[in-house]
Amino acid sequence: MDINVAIIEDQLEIRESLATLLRGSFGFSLAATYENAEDAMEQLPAIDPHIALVDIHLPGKSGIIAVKALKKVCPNTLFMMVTAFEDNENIFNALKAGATGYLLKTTPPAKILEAITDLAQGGSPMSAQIARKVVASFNALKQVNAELEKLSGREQEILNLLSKGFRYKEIGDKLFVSTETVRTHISNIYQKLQVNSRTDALNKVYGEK
Amino acid sequence: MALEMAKLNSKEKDSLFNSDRTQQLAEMREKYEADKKQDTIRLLAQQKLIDDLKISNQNAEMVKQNSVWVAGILILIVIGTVSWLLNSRGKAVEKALLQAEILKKENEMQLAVFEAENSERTRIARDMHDELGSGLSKISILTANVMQKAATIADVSADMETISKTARSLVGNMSDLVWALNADDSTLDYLTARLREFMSDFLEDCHIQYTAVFPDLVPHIQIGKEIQRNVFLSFKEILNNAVKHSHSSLISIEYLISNRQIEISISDNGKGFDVEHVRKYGNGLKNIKTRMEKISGTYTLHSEMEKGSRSLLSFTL
Repeated sequence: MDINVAIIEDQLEIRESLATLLRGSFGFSLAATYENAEDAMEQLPAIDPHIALVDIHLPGKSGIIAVKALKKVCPNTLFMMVTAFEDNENIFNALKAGATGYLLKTTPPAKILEAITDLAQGGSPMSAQIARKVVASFNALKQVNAELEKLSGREQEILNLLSKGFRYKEIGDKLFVSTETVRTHISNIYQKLQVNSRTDALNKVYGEK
Repeated sequence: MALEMAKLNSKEKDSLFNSDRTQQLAEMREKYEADKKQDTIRLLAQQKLIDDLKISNQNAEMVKQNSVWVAGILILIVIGTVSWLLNSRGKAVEKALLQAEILKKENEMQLAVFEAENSERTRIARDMHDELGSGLSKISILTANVMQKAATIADVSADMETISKTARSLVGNMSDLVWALNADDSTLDYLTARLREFMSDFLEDCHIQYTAVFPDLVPHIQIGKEIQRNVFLSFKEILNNAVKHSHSSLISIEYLISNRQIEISISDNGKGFDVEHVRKYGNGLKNIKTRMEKISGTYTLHSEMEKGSRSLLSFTL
């Protein structure tokens, strides 16, 4: 079955060329395109695509806000942020809001398709700098609330290697597991991060406890 | 007759009377004239008095003004002397203070210029990236599309492949450049991670075997952006050269830290070249040398025909 992909992107040229790429590539289909977060928040739930590519900087509501709202009503959709440059702060916030991947606009087409396939199969990309932010976020939350999701020893190991600049394959070789397993771990780390972010948000609403 | 007499009488009387009046009038006039003269004299005298008073007043005023001037000049002289004395006394201290102030201002200006340059560089990088980046992405994506459609026409396909490759490499270069210019996180451990990350991604993409030795623990110390940028771009250029020109099957990267001295060596088992005659890659090599010199580091290159090359980047924090 084709991977059904929606695009939320305000720049016409990028939107159109991504659409052309998806339409013309074997194994992919284009679900819908939106110019802004508002339209997508209204119409995407009915379409329920496998994957949504979401630009971080949109004219009205940001892509991060869109993901936060859509994640609740589209539980089957995986959100991949699209950004002009490695804007780590925003990428990290989007990941906490519910995105599971991110993509630079400058990524070559073959790699874009590869990243979409990876995401659909349960993998998630994580750069050294994002890994650092994830580690810092878990460390900061550790003292605050015992009920928060904790990282397993293996997950900590993987994050540590990632933050030192090791890539998935190298980590797999080093830990004697497959690249696939490394991917699954990273995906789980993202899920815990999102659960914690939600709990963290609740904590902020209902006070410290 | 009598009437005539009477008339004459009265005439006489009249004339008599007339002469009396004339005399009276003359007397009055005389008196009046005298009075008038007297008045004029009095007025003149008064005027003279007033004038005299005025003159004496003016004289007094002039004396007063003169003394104010004198006093003022005296005060000025006193102030001048005192301040000159004070000045010459505190001159050494004041001069030192002034110099310190000038130095501080100069430093501030240099810092401001440096910061302005930095932020301008970042702005240009971002603008360039946003503008060119999306255009290049489009070219890159569209050529991929055309290549799929024209897969059967060999000539078109080959040309499109070249266009696509060029656009892709420009996009990649730009992303790395923007990172090197932007990176807010200039610490040694992050630079090391970034080098490692780039190395793995790049060499895996090129399907080249590699071995990497990096220290387990890299200290989390702040480094300058200049170091960060120049080391990263030099490292990238060396790996690029090794992949593009050496035809090697194995690349070895070794990263050593001892105290504040860092050495990064990149060796390949490729065809090597004559270091003395490397016109072909001259510019790239010169760039690396200049980059390393900018951060008071060194770049050395050894190569032997048919045995491979070894590049060494060395710098101190």
